[in-house]
Amino acid sequence: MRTSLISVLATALIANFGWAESKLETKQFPAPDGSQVLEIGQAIRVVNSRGSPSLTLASNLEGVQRVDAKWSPDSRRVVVVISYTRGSGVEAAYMDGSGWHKALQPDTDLPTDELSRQAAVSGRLVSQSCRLGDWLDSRRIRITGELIFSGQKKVHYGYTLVFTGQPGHLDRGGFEEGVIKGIDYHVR
Amino acid sequence: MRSVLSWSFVLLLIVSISGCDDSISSPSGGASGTPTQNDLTQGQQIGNAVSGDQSFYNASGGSGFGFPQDTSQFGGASFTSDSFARIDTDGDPSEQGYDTTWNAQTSGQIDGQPVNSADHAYVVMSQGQMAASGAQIGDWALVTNNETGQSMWARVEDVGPPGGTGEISEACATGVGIQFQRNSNTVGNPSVTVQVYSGTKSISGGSN
Repeated sequence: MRTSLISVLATALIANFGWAESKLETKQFPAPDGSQVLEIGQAIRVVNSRGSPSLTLASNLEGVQRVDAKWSPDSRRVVVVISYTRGSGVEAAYMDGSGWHKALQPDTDLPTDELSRQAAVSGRLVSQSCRLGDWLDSRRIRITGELIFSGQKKVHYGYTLVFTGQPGHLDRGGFEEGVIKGIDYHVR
Repeated sequence: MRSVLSWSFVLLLIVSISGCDDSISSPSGGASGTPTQNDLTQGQQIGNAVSGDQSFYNASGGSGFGFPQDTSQFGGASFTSDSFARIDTDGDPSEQGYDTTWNAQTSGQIDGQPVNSADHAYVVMSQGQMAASGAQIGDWALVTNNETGQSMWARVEDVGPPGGTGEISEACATGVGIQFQRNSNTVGNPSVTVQVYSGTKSISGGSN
């Protein structure tokens, strides 16, 4: 019983990771197979088991309020939500035959107008936040979020973030766009 | 004793609500329609400060950051948007209770304090826009009023929701000739072009 409880707690710790601004020290979050570690401190980096950086996802976390991250069950992908006071963004690192790559979910993915129409609210979008849900498999993860429009009207939404397997185009920030994509957006 | 406790609770509730970002209080004269003279006061004060008349406002230089001393290192803009202007009053304590979208904090800070929208010309980007363009908080941006051609240097100092464009501080709006009401609504529908130059945060600003 005791062993089971410890196992459950350890699994929960490995599967979910959150970093808040008040925690200034660097946190390390290992992949399930232990081959890589997501390091969140002054920057967000994937480092290998020898401590050498494989990839830098974000080099500056000034103003960041919270970072959430989850490794995929097969340890080949990690999704990160970077949250500021009024907005958040989703980034990911993934490994293929040529090594580690970083991908970005572009702003244009979020169907703000469609969600506000579904929720029958109007006004100007003033803030947005999102959180990681569970992995459906090693290529799909659920995400939930909240939009706040002027007048404090709130819309709760959800979607599935998918690693498309399609080649993306490289943006100026060094992220591949088109590799991760949100589908099945809906009001919750 | 019970009465004292009740009043304490009510007082605490009032203080909490007035200090909350979700406040929907709307002082008279700031809701909509044609702005009154009082509504425009703040913008005019900043305008005076920017133009050098400091009789109404502080002596900190008005636009706050000034302009970049060496633009030869800038290269091309890494992010450009062209859209209606929207005013971000975050960081300006005097806007609490007037602007329903007001936040005490800004993502950027100066000496550990929020960047006051009334004092500093800044622009807002989303996390996705910053990541995609390589921009960081503190990078320089050139803001241009599309109707008048007036432009002003600002810095990226706040992060907003995905897809947001044209969001600028009070000081920046006034600096490019855009008037607004205390509830942060612009007068008319002015549009601005914002050009952000990534990797320029370390370039210091000179005075206007």
